[in-house]
Amino acid sequence: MAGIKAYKCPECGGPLEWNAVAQKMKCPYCDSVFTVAELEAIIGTKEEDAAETEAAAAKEEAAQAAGAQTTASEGVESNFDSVAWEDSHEYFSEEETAGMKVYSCNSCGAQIIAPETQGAMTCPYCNNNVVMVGQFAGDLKPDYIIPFKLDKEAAKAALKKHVSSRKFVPRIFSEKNHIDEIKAIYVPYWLFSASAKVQATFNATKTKTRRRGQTEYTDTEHYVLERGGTMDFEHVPADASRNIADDLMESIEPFDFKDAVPFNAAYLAGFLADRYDVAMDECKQTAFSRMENSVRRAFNGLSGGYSSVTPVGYHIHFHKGTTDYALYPVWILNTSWNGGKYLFAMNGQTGKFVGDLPLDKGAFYRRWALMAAAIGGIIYALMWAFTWF
Amino acid sequence: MKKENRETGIKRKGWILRLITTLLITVLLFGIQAAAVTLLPTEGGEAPTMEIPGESDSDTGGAAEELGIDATVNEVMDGVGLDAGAPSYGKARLIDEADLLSEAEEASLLTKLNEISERQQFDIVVLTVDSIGGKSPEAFADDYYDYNGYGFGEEKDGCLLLLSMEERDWAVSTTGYGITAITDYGQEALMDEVLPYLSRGRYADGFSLFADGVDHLVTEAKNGNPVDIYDEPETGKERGTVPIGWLFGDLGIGAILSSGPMNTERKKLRSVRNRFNADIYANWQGGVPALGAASGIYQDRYINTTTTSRVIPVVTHTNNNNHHRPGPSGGHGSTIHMGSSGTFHGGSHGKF
Repeated sequence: MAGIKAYKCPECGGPLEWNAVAQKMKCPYCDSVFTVAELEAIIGTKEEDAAETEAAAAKEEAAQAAGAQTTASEGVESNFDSVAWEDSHEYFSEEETAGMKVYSCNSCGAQIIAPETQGAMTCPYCNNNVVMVGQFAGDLKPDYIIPFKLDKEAAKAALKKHVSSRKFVPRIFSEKNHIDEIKAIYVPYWLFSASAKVQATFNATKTKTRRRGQTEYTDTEHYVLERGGTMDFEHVPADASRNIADDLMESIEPFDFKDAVPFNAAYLAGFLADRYDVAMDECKQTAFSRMENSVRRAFNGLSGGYSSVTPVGYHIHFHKGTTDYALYPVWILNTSWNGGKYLFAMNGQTGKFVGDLPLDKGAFYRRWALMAAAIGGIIYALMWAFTWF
Repeated sequence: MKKENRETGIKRKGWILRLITTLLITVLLFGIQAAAVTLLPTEGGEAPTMEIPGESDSDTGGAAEELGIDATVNEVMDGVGLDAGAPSYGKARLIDEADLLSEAEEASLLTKLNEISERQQFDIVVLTVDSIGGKSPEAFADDYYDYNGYGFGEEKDGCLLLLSMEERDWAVSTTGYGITAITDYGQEALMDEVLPYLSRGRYADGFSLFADGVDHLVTEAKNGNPVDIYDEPETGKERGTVPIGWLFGDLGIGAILSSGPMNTERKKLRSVRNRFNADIYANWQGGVPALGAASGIYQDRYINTTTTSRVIPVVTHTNNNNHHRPGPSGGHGSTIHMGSSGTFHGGSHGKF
């Protein structure tokens, strides 16, 4: 079973895991470190991968032909629907997925990929128990992965800082959020890259006023502005997992693609991964809206010197479109407190930490009252001093 | 290391809290002081200026002079059948020797005078005579008041209005608290209102108005705001006090001012939000002025000009002159002099 060796340390046979601090695969038994490339050379799994590619390419073409309709926003003409998205994907082989299984959460429906030996595990999204349901060979295989750059200590420190740097968080919340249960999970994303050729037209005015005698004249000069150019988008992400909230994932962006490496199942060892379940076509719309808004925003800055500017229409032509399927590293912690659920996420590459915190209403209003009393009191005292003289 | 950070963190928070507590205590002290000032009875106004005019009696006045004065007073007293020598409390507050009022009017006016006097603990006396001889109306009024024992308390609080028909003289004499309550300015204001009635012979109305006017002046004085002329044109603003209602307004302002920083802190609790653009993944190569439209289109085309016009309305300004009541040569308070009995009186006189 050639695949299994991919996860075994060549030196001592121990289970290799990706080490975020070392940024290499590390054996916990003998402390040997290897890069994935080195491992591949040693084990030679490349032949297996090549065989998959042809089968995958055929499948993908069929899927693309049936592309879904997407609607463009008002005033924007775009060929987003018909752009030829070049994407070719591979699928997991049995060997690659050996040693890992899919676990399902009855409560929230999340499907998590975890080591077979995981044993009892709680769902990272809702804390309920998960059960093993099967294997995921034949699933779409990612093209890229950004390995974890920050380890659990860094994640815990970031959470502590996130909470302590904010005021009016209930004290009990800081103490009881079982910080040790923070989990490292790879989240699936669809990445969209495209080059957009844009042309836009605006109506603009310049107004001047002048006065002769008792009459005021307002001159309005009307202009038509033409603006155009090219906007390149690189790897705009859209999260491909239904279970994880899109706004949470968008909040921890950006991910820097320069750390992305070609996918290898070895990177998953020791980590959880969310199983992809949103097709590319569904994510297309989200990515498209974001690109369109960027185009609009870029154009806003190009019409200086006018009293008013109104867009007549945008014409966007996408070309050179590519999609990639990638796994991005995320640290996740979910907490229940006082009847509410709180989800925290940290970008496993950049360390950006997000999560909504509850408000301690008592402390908040007390402090507000104190401030109001202090300021009001000072004003009153100043008024008194004023009237003495 | 981590423990240190937490401690300094707490210390920093404690510093802010301590600052606010200190400010609050300072303010409270101010408040207590202010309340004390407001609630304690005040004299109001400035200390009266002493003026001893030439014609009034000296404190060591000769017996003959004293007798002379007494005699005149006694004549009047005998005329109405009263013993002037012994001061007696309970002396009538209305002596209509000149018989200007009808029985009904007398009764009504006397009731009013008694009611106000008892309520305010301040004698208001109205005296009408046919003639005061050659005496000065002020001195006559002072002496009548003193020698008939009018006035409440140690200071003999009260006032007297004298009308002498033959000479067409009027005089007001104030004593004790009357000096404080009925300032020169107050007298002038009051008499300005009363005199028209007296001049026209409407004595009942005039005296009634006088009584009400004194009632009002005394009330105001007791509230700490004696009616007097002030340097500032605004009326009703007592120097050195700020009504307590302002504190609530200030607290409201405090709440509004602090709502800004408080809301900022509250918003910080939310950090999850959608991203609606892809700016961070975008690389714009377009027509920009700096690049001189080298790599894209950047073209402005002029179409036409439309013109609208409007006539500017003419604004007229009106001048509002505030008429200030001229007061007694810019002085505050009451001008006082010493009467023959040694008591100080305030007052004024004139013709009606």
